Amino acid sequence: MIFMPKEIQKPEEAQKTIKINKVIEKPKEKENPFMVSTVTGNPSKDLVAISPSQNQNDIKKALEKTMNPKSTADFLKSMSA
Amino acid sequence: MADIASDFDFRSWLSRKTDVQATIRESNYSSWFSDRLSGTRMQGLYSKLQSAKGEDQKTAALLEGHAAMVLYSTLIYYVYPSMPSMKREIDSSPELRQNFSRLKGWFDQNGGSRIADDFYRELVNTIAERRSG
Repeated sequence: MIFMPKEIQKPEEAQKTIKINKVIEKPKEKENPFMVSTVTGNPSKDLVAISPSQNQNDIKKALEKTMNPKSTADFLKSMSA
Repeated sequence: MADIASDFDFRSWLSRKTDVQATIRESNYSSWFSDRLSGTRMQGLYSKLQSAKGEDQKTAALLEGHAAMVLYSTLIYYVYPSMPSMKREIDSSPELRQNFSRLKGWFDQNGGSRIADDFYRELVNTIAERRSG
């Protein structure tokens, strides 16, 4: 499960403006790969969550594209000290 | 409050099927900053990276580590400031507070919320590309 700020934009708008500053509309779960909910169950709160159950390949791709091997290794080493 | 972190595995983060609503309601985000998860578990990830044989194993270990980075970056910079109950739990526990500070200290010096931001931006883009393709 991934937690993200509600301000993340709608998927269909992602290619127009890649900025995390727009409010996503709560989708119908069966129609959208994002399974979205607020942390507290209150839509007015500012956090939502998505489940990897329908988009684990997307998550893996995003991890692969954003990973910096040196930074990750440094992080693990530092946290293990 | 259920402690989903007690069963948390960074690798399974990629494949677990979850009742999102139930998990969100019952999750105890603070427990991700326990000694066991933010210390012992991270040592395990580092050991896995060190003992990786071949590029595939090394990449898999790094991906698991990166998933942990994204998760902690999100918890620290987005969930913690927005969730009073989590903030209270961490602030009132020496163990959780110390581990939180240690992690935040590293992130503050190494990209901070950008690590989460970059991932989510890429995730949204990846999904949009797939759906439009």
